[in-house]
Amino acid sequence: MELFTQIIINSLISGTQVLLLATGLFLVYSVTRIMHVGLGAVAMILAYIVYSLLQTDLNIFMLFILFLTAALILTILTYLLLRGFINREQNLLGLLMSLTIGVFFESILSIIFGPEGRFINLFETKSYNFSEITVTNVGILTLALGICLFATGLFILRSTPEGRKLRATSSNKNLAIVLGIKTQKVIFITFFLATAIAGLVGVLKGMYTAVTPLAGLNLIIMSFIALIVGGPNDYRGTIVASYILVLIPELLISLSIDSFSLSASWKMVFVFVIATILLTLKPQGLFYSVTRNT
Amino acid sequence: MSYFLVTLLAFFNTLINCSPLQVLVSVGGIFFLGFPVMAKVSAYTVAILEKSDFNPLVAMLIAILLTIIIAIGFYYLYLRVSNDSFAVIGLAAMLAVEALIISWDDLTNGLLGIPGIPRPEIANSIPSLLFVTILFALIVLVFEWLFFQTKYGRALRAMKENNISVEALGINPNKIILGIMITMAVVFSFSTSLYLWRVQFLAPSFAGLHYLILLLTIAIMAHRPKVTLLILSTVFVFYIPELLRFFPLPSAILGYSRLVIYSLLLIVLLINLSPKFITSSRKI
Repeated sequence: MELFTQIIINSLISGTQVLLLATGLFLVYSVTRIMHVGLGAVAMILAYIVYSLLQTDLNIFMLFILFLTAALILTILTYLLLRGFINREQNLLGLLMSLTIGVFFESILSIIFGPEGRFINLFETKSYNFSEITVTNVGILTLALGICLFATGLFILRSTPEGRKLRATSSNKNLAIVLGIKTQKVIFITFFLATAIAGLVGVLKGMYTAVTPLAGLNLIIMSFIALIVGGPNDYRGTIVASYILVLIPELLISLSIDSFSLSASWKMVFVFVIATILLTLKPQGLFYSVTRNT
Repeated sequence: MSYFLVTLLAFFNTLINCSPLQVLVSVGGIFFLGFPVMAKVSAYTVAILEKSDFNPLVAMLIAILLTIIIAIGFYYLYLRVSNDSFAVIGLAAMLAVEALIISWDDLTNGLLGIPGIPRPEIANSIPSLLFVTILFALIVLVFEWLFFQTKYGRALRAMKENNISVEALGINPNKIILGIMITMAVVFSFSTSLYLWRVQFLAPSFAGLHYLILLLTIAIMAHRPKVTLLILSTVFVFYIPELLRFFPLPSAILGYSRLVIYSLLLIVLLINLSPKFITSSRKI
């Protein structure tokens, strides 16, 4: 029972990382209809920037300012490269461009930092024991940040003018333009939010396990699968899918019997199999239901 | 001389792989990014069977059959999900197969790869292998050229703009896609076998991100249904990184430097060609 609870807690922490990145993907997709898969590499770049800044004697406030500046520069770069595809509504080519930007960033990171993993020691990692269950302060921080971001995100989307503009752009871009909403500005802000969230995920990953230059692709593919399994237009589905896709492989690996014990590298195989099954059964998303006009 | 022959072999191998990709991605506008899965599966099938004393040609035939099954699986997914989901599922499949190869080390030898893959008698030296490769490349290119002249080739081009009009002409667009995917499976199986017989070693990193970006760059560059354009694009993209040989770069970063060049090239191509490039649109 303790093992089972421990697996659930670990999956909640990893699932929150996947969900946070999927939220960035969801936001960009909702206003541009482009799957910004380059966000994974952006997450790694920002994680490595934080890692490099920690080697100097900067205080946490300066670190945060520099993190946001780097996120802004990356947003400008990716937005400028993708703007043409957004305006021409070339979603597939936009996806390919985003993937290529990601590969470019990851290759540059590999050249500079090499393939080995790096830990981000933003603060000393401590473990807390609750009976037989262990949770680290990084894990608690991930969960807390996840909850805070969702609460803030929901509040902004539902109760602020900026959130309403974002929802209007997502719902009908042309109508939003007619109503005087500066959709390009909304899209840029959404890109910035997605980039900052991705960077946060990168830093959390570096604190929880480690970051490698190519880890972004695995992470973004997991988030993307969560997004399409949940349904790209249904955020509830993305939330459920993010945790299912982390929990089931984790259970299968952790509970595998000695003679059939499986290593952690099987995780991606299980994710793909689960995604294929779910997509076959529910191709439009987990909570999609057929409606008809009477 | 040996360097020249080996480079030429690698060039023709790349050209063979890019041919079905040009048809599907550039002409058909279908972003199928799962093609490295076909290459990985067929390469491992050939390598494992050959190491189990199968005849190389029999091993290749079994690999072709297995890869065709995978192509049918991808076709089924293509029918079920939207175009952009299909593109990223292809990527996910590539990562999943790579994870499977590394994890299932009893069968695949894991991270160590499979060394000492024997060559068949008809291609037991580099010159004879080069002859077989060039011959196959010619067959593939002639076949592609002929395909573009047929009503199916024209229908594939029309599909990008209006799927319904193609159906109105009595052609099932999905059958064309299935046909191309199966042809792709056969071509990829044959070309990966040729690759294995050249290198005689199979690493788990084979047909990874580097392979994906290289072939996609060539396919996007050859955006018109012209075989000559495909050949020119392959020459250009394949030989550009050879310039890196003139710089004293450590071998650890050489592969990533190539990837930087390919991705930069693809970014420039996408920016310049995208206004003219049409991708397929369909309802699922």
